[in-house]
Amino acid sequence: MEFLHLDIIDIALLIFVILCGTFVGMFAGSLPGIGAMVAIVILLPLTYNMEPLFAILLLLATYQAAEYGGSISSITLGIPGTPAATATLMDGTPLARSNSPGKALAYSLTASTMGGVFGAVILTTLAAPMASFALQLSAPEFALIGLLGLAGVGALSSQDITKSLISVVLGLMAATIGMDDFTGALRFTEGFNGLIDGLNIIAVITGVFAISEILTMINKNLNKKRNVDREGKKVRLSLPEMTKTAKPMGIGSITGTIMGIIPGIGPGASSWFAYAIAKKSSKHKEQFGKGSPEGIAAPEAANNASVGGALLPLLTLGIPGSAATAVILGAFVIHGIQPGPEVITNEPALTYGIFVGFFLTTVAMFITGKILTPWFARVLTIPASILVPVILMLSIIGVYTAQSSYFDVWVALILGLCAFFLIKLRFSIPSFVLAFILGPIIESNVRRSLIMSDGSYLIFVTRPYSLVILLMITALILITIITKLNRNKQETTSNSSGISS
Amino acid sequence: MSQKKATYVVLIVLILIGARYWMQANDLSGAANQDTIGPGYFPNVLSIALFVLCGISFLQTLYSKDEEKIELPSKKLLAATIMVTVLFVASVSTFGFFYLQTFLFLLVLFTIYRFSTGMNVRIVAANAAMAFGLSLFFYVVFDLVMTVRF
Repeated sequence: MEFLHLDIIDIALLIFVILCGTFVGMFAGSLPGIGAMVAIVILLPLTYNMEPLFAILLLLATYQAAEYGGSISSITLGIPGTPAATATLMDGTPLARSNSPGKALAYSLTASTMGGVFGAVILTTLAAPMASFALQLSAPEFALIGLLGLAGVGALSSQDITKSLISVVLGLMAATIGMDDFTGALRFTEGFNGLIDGLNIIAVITGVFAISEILTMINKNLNKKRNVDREGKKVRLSLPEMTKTAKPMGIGSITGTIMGIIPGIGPGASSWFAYAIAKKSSKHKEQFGKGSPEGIAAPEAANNASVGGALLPLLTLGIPGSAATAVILGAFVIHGIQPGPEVITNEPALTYGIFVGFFLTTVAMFITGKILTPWFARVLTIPASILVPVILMLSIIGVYTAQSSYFDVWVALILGLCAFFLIKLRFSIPSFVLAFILGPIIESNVRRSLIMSDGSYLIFVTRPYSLVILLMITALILITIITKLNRNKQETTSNSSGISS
Repeated sequence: MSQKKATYVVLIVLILIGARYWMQANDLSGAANQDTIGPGYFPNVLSIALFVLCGISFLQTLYSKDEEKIELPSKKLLAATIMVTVLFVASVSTFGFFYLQTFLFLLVLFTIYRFSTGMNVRIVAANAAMAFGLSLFFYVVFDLVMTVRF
């Protein structure tokens, strides 16, 4: 790794950091309710004093491993560890009950590894061409890419689209707090000095994801004991078993990577899409939902492939593709690095280090998963009464450490409390967070575009690339409306047939 | 409380927040000068979008047949956690002694969360040991390794 300017001690440290991230990610992913976001948020303060490459890889290893970890509780308990592991539950739990949990976990681990490797290959191959393509884009296109992300997350992340859109608007409003970059005017600070630089991203993310999740856990039974069978957890797959699931793994990998690249869609939606496509193209459709290995392989490959996919717009455009990559963007910014089209030329050692390290995170996930999955399955028996105080304390420390500010801790607590109630009313927190992250990108580029065009909105439709992105946004909105109408129609039909029978 | 009632309350609060936001956006110099790209331009668009969406959501809730209730089975634990956390943050930011207060904070939380399992000397000792171990861990990681000063 000479081109990365790393000596043997650095390499050993790098591997240690990746293994730590993998361990924490798998641990957090396997615990229902905690998941990738909380794990990344908890680890973020530890990265402040690290070298940028180590910091980013620690968080990426956590993200990657948490996506697999989510399947552990899906399969062994029938409770998804992460939202992306919900599709895995469809066939993971039946296979675990009818055959063995170890077999189901082995399909999940192998597919996650394949998906992770595929995502890494696509990231490595497409980053440079995409960055040079991004250099041709200007303010109108960046504004529209941001809007595409909002359209994606707004449409897919909530049962109630209107409330999801309200969450998007609230996130954008929150992002306008603080000093205006163009004029220096103070906006919506209400006289608080702590708000002059805007709401601290770490405080916002910790509040709405970690604190709200803690309150949700308290609202359930804190001392509930989960029983996990200790037998049949050997994670092993034979070659014929592996080849049998090669097709759904391929489907999952491709779907996950593509959906990961589109800002706002994320691993949750991509795993469901992959599941649906794998089912449609399978020769054994009837086995889906009854413990089909294909039904585990497709979504698991997809949610890990989407990690690499989501990194592509983050690294090359500076636009995060998911809430988790938004936190990783925060880690870049904390280290004084702004991802975007020029990051490959300005920070080659870091960028190529991320590519190499990202492959290593997948390898680490496979090895750790192979050895420690039975142990992680046992970890599920830790009651929430022990986990909640630990996560709460780490969240408070994490927020304080970001800027040594207790004001930020208060912000996180207030936002967490609000988010807890808003989640109960079906508002969408991922929509809020992504809008908060994308808000400044959209606002500054819309204003820059209007300055370029002397206030004419035609700039968004007269440029070829803008037009293409605008068409994508329109298509996404149309698909959402059609899907919603179809769902309403189906519900009405099933209700009326229920009444008549 | 029913989902419907809670949604009405939240939507009214959001409209009030939106109204204040909109007034402040109009007060921003750019907006007052009718400058389409001033600091008030984007907030103005957002506040209007919020009013429209809240209106739509209000109507959807009105015509919805959803009779679901918001369940808070652990109200007391939730209230206790919020109260203890607020006290902890207020006390630490005022008096300092971060690690000592962290130990007490964790001990209180472990005790109230595990109270229903029955309290005896063994459990109290285990709670204290966990609180101490974690406080020590935080001290080593954040104070000694990362030199974070609280």
